[in-house]
Amino acid sequence: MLGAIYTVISLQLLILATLFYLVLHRVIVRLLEHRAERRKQYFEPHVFNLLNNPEATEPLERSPRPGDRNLVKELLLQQAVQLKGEERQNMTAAFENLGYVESEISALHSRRWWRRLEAAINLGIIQSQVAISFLIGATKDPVEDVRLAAVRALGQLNNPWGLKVLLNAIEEGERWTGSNIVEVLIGMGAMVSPEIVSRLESTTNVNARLLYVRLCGLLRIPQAVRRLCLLLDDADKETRISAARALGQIGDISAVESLISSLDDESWEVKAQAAKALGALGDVIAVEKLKEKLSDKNWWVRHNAANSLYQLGEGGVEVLHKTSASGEGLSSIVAAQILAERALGV
Amino acid sequence: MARILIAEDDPNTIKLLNYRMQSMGHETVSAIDGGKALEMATKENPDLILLDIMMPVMSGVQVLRKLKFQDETKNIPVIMLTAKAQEEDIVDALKAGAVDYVTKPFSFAELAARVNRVLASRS
Repeated sequence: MLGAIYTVISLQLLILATLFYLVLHRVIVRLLEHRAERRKQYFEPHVFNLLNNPEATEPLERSPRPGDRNLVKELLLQQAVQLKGEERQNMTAAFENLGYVESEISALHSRRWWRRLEAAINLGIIQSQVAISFLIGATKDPVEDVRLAAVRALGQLNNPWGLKVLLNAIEEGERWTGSNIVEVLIGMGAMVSPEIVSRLESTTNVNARLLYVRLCGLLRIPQAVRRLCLLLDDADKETRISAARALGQIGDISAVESLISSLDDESWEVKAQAAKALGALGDVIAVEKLKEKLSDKNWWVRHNAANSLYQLGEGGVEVLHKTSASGEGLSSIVAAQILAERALGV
Repeated sequence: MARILIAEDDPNTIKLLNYRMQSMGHETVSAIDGGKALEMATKENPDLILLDIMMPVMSGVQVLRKLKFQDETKNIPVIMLTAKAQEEDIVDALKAGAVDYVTKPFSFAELAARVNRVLASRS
């Protein structure tokens, strides 16, 4: 009996202690958040002043509180990422004046990989030329995420070294994930185009060439059109498919004749991609050949040809209506299907 | 001095734009989603709206279409705020009646020039 009473009382005390802890924890967290918000409100006007005067760092250096340095850094990074032009350059100067560039460079050698990753990302945002050689070193980091962040940061600094590292990685086919490379190269923008076109012309590595073809399409590099048209006759089927896709993405009508020829390729995948690309290019000289492909034995080829005819405007739509009305086998079915889908807004 | 409504879901961007517009001598009000943007535009009758394309509740283009549909807001000029990758949305916004657009990240000089041009043509 006494034992049971003792157990009940102990349980009640435990529940009360837990509730007390939860309430106290919540109060402390709220107080800390409130304090952080007040510190933020104190520093924000000084951070905005830096946009016009990067030398005005004294109010930001004055505070003795340990957490404030990180808070100021976060505030600066939040604003820097939204700016370009003169204000962005002022922010970079402010980062340098406040010693943040040095501390992030040191962090590139941290034992914790996530701190090295954060440092590489921050140096990309800060865009200080002082960090370039250290970021180049970070492209050899054992952790791929850190290497990618360093390469991305070099791209943000318009430094070509990061591009060289990535393109060499494509050729070597090791240590880097293909989709990651593509994502970073796309993020680098127009600076990568000349190098990719040059490598597309010269590489003998089939996998690397496929990646370059893909990049030409994703980056819509018009200088690659001539080479891509030649690749429509390549012995490798995947290369022909990728070249047709890329030409559709680039949208240069000088590729129309080559793509029309590809409509007779032995592979249905190539024919289907070529048919799709012709719709994107928008040149009506493709209408007759696309009309032929409405009766191709492969569904994808018929479907893409019909879709592209619709995209080519009045002439193509007229072909679809006539074919649909003719009732002649597979071609009339696909023509009717596309007309119905478009009428429904699909 | 003009009254400018900033419709943007990122609080940091709102602070930045507030700072810039106020340093140009304008008064600002802000809205953090599309629904509030529509409400504030109707209530405050601003001289100009800086409208983000991607917002919760209602997108910038949807807000713009509704603004152009209402008599009390259809003549308020709107400048869209957009990320570089949103080209199709920019075309939609211009077709829906936006007078201009500014891409992120912002250049203060460009932003100021576009705002001044729109306000000058309105006055």
